[in-house]
Amino acid sequence: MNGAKTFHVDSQWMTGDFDSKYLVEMQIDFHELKRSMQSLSGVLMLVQFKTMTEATQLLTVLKETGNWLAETLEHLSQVSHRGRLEDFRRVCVNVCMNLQSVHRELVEWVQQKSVAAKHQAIHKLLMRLQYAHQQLRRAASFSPAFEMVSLNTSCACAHQ
Amino acid sequence: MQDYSIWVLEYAYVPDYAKGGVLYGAHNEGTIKLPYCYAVIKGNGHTIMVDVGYNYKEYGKVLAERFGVINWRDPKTVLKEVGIQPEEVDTVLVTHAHFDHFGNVEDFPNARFYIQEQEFTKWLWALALPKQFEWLQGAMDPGDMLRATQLAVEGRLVLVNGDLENVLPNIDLFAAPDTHTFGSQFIRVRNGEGSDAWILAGDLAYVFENIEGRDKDGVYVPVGLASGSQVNLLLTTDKMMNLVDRDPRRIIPVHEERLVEVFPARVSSEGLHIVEITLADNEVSKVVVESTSSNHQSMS
Repeated sequence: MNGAKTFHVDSQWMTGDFDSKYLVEMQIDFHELKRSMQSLSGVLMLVQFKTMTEATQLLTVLKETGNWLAETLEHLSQVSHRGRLEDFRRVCVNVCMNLQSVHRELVEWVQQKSVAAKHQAIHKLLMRLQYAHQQLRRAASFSPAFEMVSLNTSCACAHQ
Repeated sequence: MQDYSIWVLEYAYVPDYAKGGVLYGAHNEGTIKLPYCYAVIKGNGHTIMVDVGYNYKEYGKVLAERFGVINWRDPKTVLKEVGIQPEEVDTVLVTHAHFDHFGNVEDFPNARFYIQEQEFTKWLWALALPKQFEWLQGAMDPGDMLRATQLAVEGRLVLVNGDLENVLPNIDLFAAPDTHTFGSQFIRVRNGEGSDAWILAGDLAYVFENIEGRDKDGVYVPVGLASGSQVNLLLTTDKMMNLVDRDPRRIIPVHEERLVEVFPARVSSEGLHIVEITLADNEVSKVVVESTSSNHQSMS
């Protein structure tokens, strides 16, 4: 029975309309998570260099990122799957919540005046981002999600 | 006096890339081979890379397979052709942050990386734009950004704001904002006195025609793809020309397959080109061997 059930689920992965719709929805979330991660990484780096010294500028970027994450989490809560593809959503939810945690701390960090406190925080935040990235990679390596690894490059070096 | 050697090293290639991608307006003109290369500058006690390519794993592998990039070789294999180990590289000058130029920082553990500040700040600005501007956000993957942040934490990332003369002795960085990318830069290497200068153009020029014009008519042609201004690309080309006394041969477009026809070159056992742009006084050629008749000939 278990074998038959597995076969049914696997077939559904590749051909079912339900699965296609689910993967399209998940692709949106995957993209937003990727964008949020890039944004948080970028802020973390630039704050360290004090290149975007205007806190308002940074907070604007962070505000947008916070919105993306909140919307993504809400969207993820509305997308569900009764088969093994549900694992993919769970990973994305986990990534999203981790990024939200980093986001909250980064907002506090940007507003902090103490250089020493910032220096202590950066290592911790970077490790959290790296962990979230590992999770996102795990999601990307999930075979139906393969096409979600899209960099959308504009470089002419054979990228579209 | 020649202080620096320069080699352009092919590490992968696309056998059939649309010509329109490298030359603006070259629609329906077929395909060309597009080498993927980085450059090595060696001299004055420094081993310097201009860009680091990408890593054939994770995202890099996915893209390589998707876009038909073949024959990728790791830096250890490629650099060995000019007698260098990746660990010896002390400086990396990054022309821009696209993944095939900045996607392999992890293979250079002892290098300090120089990149234009605007490449990141403007990209971050674009990232916060609404979805309809998504095209502007491309070309960097989350891993690359994280690795850049890691470099910053380790104190190995330098953000450059504009032109920077003598980043190393007789090596200059020139900003090219709003061109191929938000914050591209090109590199000038000055050998000794006078006009003996070379420019490594990054993706500000892909092929000779971008600089010399079609049919060598001297009319600049911008690259086929850019997120910035075509006008700025042409003005940057003119700036590069002025910096090398208007000798187009001294501007090196690293994606140009025909470099091997202009400079001494050979093919490695891996089927990849090694091009010797110039050789320092105390350096031995990596592409040419002395024949018994004292003439030079290619090792290939």
